[in-house]
Amino acid sequence: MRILQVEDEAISALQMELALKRLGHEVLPHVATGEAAIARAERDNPDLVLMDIRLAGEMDGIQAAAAIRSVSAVPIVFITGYDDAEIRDRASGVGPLAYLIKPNVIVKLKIVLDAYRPAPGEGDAAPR
Amino acid sequence: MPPLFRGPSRLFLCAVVISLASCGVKSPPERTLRAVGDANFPPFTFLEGEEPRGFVVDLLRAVAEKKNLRVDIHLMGWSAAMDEVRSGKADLLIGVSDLEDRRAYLAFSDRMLTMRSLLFVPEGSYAYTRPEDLKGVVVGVERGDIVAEYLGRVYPNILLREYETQSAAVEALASGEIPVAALDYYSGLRSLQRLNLQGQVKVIGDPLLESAYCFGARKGNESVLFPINDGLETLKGDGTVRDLQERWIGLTPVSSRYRRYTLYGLSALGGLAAVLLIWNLSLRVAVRRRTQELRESLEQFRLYMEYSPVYMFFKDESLVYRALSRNFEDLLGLPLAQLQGKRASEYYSPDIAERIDEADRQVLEGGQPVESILEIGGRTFKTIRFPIHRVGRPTCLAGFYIDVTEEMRSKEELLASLRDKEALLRELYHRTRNTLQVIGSLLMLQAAEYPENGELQDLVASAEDRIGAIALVHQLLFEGRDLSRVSAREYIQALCSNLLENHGVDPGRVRLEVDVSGRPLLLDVAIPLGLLIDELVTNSCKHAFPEGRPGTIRVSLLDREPGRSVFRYSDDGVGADFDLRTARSLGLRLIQTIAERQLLGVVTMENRGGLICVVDFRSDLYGERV
Repeated sequence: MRILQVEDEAISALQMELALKRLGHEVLPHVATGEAAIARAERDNPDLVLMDIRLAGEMDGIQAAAAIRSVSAVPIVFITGYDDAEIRDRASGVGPLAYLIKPNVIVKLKIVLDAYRPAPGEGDAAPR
Repeated sequence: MPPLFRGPSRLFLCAVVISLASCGVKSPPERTLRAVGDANFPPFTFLEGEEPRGFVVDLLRAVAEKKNLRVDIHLMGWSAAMDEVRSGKADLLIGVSDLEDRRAYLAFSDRMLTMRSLLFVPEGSYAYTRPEDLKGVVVGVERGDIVAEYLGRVYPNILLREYETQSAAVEALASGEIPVAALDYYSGLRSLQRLNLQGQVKVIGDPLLESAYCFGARKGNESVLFPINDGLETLKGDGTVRDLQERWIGLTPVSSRYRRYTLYGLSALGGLAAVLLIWNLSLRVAVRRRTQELRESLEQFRLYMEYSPVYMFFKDESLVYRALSRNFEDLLGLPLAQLQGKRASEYYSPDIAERIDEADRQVLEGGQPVESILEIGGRTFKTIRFPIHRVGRPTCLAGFYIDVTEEMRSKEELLASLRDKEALLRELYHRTRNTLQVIGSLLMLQAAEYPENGELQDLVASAEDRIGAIALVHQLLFEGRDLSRVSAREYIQALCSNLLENHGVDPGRVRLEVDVSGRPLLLDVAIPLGLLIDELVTNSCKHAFPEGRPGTIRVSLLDREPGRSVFRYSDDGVGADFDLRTARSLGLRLIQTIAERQLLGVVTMENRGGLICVVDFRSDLYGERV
């Protein structure tokens, strides 16, 4: 699975990248802003976008995800540090695959990915 | 001209004229009436030489003259005179008091005048003024006088000394022979005058007796009195009686009682006038003082209203302004004269007036002070209105406007500043958590360089867990409302769940039971406690449930007493042998060090069908810092 990670914290992104690679996924170079995420998603057409909600730049993760989803059916997994009802409501408007709250995101993500079966014709086949 | 009267009518007229003429001519007296009286009762009847004189003598002569009577007057001793009349020897008793007992044998004419009997005493004597004072006292009287008879009958204790005449009694009184005499008023005064004793004897007290003084006739011989009564009436009418009274007795006498009453009355009036005068003066002083006080009070009130920096008002029960402080002029831009006597709606905007009226009604209906905030002309006022209860009048109200614009602005700024500080603090918590996570990530990334070194991987994983326990406190502080404390229940539950999840423990296999009733934890307590829990849970995850063994982890934190908490951790796993004192693993040493040295608690660990760790520690070691 080709995964695009949108995260403004480089070290955290590196750790996630390492963990995803260990799980056997292909990880695209991470981006730190919503604007870059939209461009990269359009260009690289990933199988999954891991979207941090708090980002550098003008857009937050939900806005960026909405923009991506407006042109692509790529599944979005939101990652956030806080369980905030208002943010969760906004995020659900995008129809994400999952909404993960830190910490232990890697453990949680593994469970989500294990359970995920892309619909036929939706992106590339899963790696398994 | 024809004659008015003719024939027989002329004869009748002559007869009438003759008979009418005969009426105007006095008919000759039928016979001479013998009139007798007291020879010694001046000024009424007395002898001057051989000649009868006195008021009654002259009055009788005047009556005789008027009624064409012939009277022959003889004055003698009083008893002899009375005897003559009673025996029929004399026709008329001249000068006799009309007394009830005398009516048995005498008939009386109309009253000539009123006789009064009074006490006569030497000048300067005040011992005897009433008959009651005369018990055992020698009292001079005229023999046969009515007062002698009266006193002897009514006051038997009085020692009566009888004298032949009133004058003799007066002389005895003046000479000191007797201390008091009871005499006829007029006669007594006449005697005093005649004997030249005025200034030595005086009249005192109320009349003892009053009686009508009349002419008398023997019972059965009343007819002799008829012309007398006619004559008296005529003489009273033409003033003769009054003239004779003036001549013989002096002007109509005023009784001593009346004079005394007059004196009393005048004294009382004088006293009353004095009292009224004093009262009036004291009232004037009081009124002047009260007026002055009132004036000062009004002046104080006026100055108060003039200079008060607080806006003050007074309204009547109809919510009409009756008084306002001067500064309202600046506030509303109108002179006070235009503000007083009006309602709020007459110069405030409708919404403000409505709010004012509403607050006023609350005061009048509730009878309690009411506070409110009003915005007038871009400024903020705190208003306090209060009822004024008046006896017998409707309750009115008064109040203050205090300009709190600056206060409110400062308060807003302060609140904004506080909100900024809070936001800053939250941001700080957020960044600390992120930083901690970055530190954890860095450790993991570094360890990833040595994938073959299992010990290193374990070490880094443990460190990341510990960092995670600390980061979680900051996360909860960031999320929570309280910037100083985290919910103990929330923290312990989240921490344990995260650790189990991180260690890949299936929550269906190893159940977690958390029982926390403790108060929220300060950061200073939450972090060491979190590290302690981290070690215990990690230990259970690694050792307690090998080979898919199911079990339960129980964590509780209870307040044993204020400032003292008991933390208890247990699992029902396979257990392990260990000794805290000699333990070499960092985990066990951390547990002991944190419990005993940081939380100043007592830690006990047991291996009894699983691990049990109890820490009894002080939860009030730290005070609130933010």
